[in-house]
Amino acid sequence: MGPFILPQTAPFRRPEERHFAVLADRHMEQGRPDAAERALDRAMALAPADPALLCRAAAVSAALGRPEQAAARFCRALQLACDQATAHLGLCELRRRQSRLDEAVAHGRVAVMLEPSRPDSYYNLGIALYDRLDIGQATACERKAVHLAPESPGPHFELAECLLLSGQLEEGWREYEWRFRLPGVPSPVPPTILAADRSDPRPQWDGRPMPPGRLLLVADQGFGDVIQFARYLPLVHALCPDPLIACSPDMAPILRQLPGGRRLYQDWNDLPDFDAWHALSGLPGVFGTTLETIPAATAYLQADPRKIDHWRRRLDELLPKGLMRIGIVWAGRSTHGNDHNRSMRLAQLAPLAALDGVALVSLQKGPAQAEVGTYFGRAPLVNLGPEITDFADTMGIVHGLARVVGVDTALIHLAGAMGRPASVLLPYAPDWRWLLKRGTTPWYPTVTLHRQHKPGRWDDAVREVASGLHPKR
Amino acid sequence: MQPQPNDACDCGSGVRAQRCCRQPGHMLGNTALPSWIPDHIGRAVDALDRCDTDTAHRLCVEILEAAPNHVDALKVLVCLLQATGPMTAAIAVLQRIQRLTPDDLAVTQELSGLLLRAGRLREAEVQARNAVRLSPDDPMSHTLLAMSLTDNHQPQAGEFHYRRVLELARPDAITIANFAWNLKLQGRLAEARRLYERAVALDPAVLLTWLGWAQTEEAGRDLPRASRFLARARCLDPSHDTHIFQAALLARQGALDDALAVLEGASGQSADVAGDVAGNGWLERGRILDRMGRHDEAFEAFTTGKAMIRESGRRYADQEAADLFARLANFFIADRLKLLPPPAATLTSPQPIFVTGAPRSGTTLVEQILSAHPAVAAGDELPAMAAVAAGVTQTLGSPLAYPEALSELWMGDQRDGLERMRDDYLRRARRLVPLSPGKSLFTDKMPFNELHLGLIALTFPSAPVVHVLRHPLDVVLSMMSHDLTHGFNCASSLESAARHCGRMLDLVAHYRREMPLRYLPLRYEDLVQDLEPNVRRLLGFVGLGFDRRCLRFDENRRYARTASYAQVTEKLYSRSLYRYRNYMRHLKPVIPLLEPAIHSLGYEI
Repeated sequence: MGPFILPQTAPFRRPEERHFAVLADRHMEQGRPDAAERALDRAMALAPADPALLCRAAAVSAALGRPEQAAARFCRALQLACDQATAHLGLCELRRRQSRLDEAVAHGRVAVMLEPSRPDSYYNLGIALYDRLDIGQATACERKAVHLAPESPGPHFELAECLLLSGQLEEGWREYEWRFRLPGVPSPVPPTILAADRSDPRPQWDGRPMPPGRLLLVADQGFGDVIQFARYLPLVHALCPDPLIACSPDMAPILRQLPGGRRLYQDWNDLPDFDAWHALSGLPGVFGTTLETIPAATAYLQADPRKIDHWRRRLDELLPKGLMRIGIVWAGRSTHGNDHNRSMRLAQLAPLAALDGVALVSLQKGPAQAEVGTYFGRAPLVNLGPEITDFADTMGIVHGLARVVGVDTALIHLAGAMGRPASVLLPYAPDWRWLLKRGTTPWYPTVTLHRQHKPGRWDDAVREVASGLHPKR
Repeated sequence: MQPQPNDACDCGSGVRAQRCCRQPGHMLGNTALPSWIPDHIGRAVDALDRCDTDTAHRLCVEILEAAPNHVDALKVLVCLLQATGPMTAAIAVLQRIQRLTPDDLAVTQELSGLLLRAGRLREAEVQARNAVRLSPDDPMSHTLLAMSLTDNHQPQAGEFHYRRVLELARPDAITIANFAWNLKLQGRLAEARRLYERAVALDPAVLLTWLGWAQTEEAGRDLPRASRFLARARCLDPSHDTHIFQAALLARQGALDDALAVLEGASGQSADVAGDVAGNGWLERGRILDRMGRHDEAFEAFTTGKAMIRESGRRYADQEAADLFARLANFFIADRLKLLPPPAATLTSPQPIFVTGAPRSGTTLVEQILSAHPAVAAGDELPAMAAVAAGVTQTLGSPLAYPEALSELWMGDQRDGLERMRDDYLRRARRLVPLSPGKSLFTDKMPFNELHLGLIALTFPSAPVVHVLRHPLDVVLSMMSHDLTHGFNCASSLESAARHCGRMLDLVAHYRREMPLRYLPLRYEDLVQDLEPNVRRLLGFVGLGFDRRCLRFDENRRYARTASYAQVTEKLYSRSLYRYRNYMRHLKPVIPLLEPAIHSLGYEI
């Protein structure tokens, strides 16, 4: 996500204006956009047509979730002074979030021309180009941004996304390590834990063998990431037997299934002593994974036979025999930064719902589950969400389904890791792990990929999945 | 206002309240009777015989002033009140007599009979059961119970008692005709017809026999015969009010002008007809006008009819409905339901298919399609699930009402509660559903059973629920044109029908969010426009193979006992689709109420 950069010099005419503007900047730095807005209201009462104030106010509007107001303020600033790189930068990001990518890119390019020395201009433009899937240009922009601001983590991370998406994994993994330095991203291990009882903090693991139980792995990022990278546990276990693993309790049914996934901790205070640590999501980099060496030969997760039996009986109660049972999920966690791109509405699965001989089994959790209440498609839909308590349940259900169809969420990773057939619906510019243009993925041999043909448009992708299903009639 | 000592009793007996229903307890004991009472009784009876009701009433009041519990005087008063009215007073006085002489068979039978005539069916049934207890060999007791059960939606139990009557007494025309009506209600038209033949052979001069037979023939689609029998009935007593049936019969034969003329001719004479009956006349008139394309007049007739029905006391129980809906939504929450023990595996007896939806949405059509399949018996509108819900408090020994009473299922000694409720439902259903061998499923198409979708899913987790959907504006329009009591009497006005339908759809959405359901939404419009694929889908969903007979549901000889029965005997017709478009002006006030539902169901306005 591109940040809104405030003008570095503020040619304010009156000291009061300057006072309120500085105050607003401070509030914004402290993450208090509401207080910033109050300060800016007072400043703008003194100078309603000041482009620098308008740009600040627009940034505040965006932070308060009012994109239309933000865009209007940036546009007004441009009317007053067309050379406001800040306004172009801001509009680049706003339009990108609204999926108006051509406009976003145009604004980004103007910003770059106006202030070619500002790394933020390249950074924002690069992100807009990534969303438009101009990956070559996006990579060039982010490289330029990295060159201008070598210590700024944002451009490094965006560069990593570009490299990984285009399959240049080796350099990609290196840049990917910048993710923990992004603003607002906490350290995978709290610094106090790393420093406890040592003169120097415990280092990140370098990939060399260690005695049993001396390595700490952190099951970081989303559930999907943990499922995807859990495949590295056996490799770690061979080098450093029985690593300690800090993870969310939700991940226990996943990690316990793998060699090396025995010692799980949910509380930093319970953790035994260790000598080095690594994030699970960084293991591909540690092992130097390339497209050819992704460990994906066999399925590495299995459902518990008791769960399989329970859910088979439950589904047999809820659905007639003879229908092809398709598991669905249409929305991820709404707090995910890219959720507006990756999630859809249940109603957008209409081509699946129109099929005869199919039954939809909703595995959706969270607020989006409510959408089943107003589903009236032809295919019967069973909402199992209310009865799913953990991933062991989900695996038990997935085992009995003909296929799982869904957006880029943990469920797809789960089905893939179990070796079950799955179809993932991907936004136009997908997450790096799905690579470019391919209909399959080296990470999960049983998963097929269905990409948006146009940004924001799901219909073609869903139709593609529907036409590939051949239920008995 | 405080009741005054000399006020007449509220029951309408004309006796002082202090000597009637509000007697102080100490007066109930026996006291010595004044010597003039026997003479007064004799004179009161004489006056009654002379039809001098004023004198008879005065004499009774005098006796009861002195001896308020004098049974003979009370009995004379009952005779009087039956002649003069009000009926409620006669019933109240009989109830007093019954309390004084609980073992008096004649009193119990008379009370049951009066309650039956007053339409107080549940009370009538209680008294009829008392009569059978008092004298199990008395044919009158069985007649009363047979009639109450038949009218109380338990015709199968009623049949048992008619058969007892015929064992205990010589067959008479009226019993035979009543029994025939019972069989007609069970959809056994051929048997009913044979009994009507016997009834008219015994006594050809009973109007209700001919009228019942005419209605039976109409149900069996022999309209000319129905018309002939109706004419016989009218010959016997031209003043008997048969015009609504007559008009409906004419309309069904396409003689719309004649049908309208019958209703218009009758409207002047029926000033003394009960409000709901007169209201029904207006609804029939509206339906005929609708078919004639005279939509404004039709809607006016619907509005008039509904106003009359409301005047007769049938209004939407708005607050009661709102409270129950809110409590259901509060109780049926995923986290709470997880704690409930599922019922043990289903039994091998025939299992229900719940065909739910608003009345007039096509539930009868769906039942007719399903029951054309050899494995499916038609159960019609079963009051069984509502009865199970109402009985939860008792079943689980809870201090709470339904649905909160279901929380007893969390207690160690109530873990089998859902099984008991399921079995209770099945027992009730078995009494009502004609289940011949080979039937593995039966339908329950009680409209608005969606109210109990949560309880259905708990007690019958594998029972298919087919939710019949239709454009909400078509539904409320059709509810306006028929007399319906479902859903807290919501059909008594356009606005309450719309409000209730909206509430129900919200509740269904809630249930679907909070619990897994075996649920199939089925659009009436899809059935009408594209029958076969939707019948295949329907049969597949309930777990049956496709059967071509289900496409020819119009040939299903079963008689559906609801407002839709005439339509389901016709081939699918598209004039029922989007009929609301003719009434946009009239429906406008409820569009804001229904708009969210219309859009969420995927319809347009």
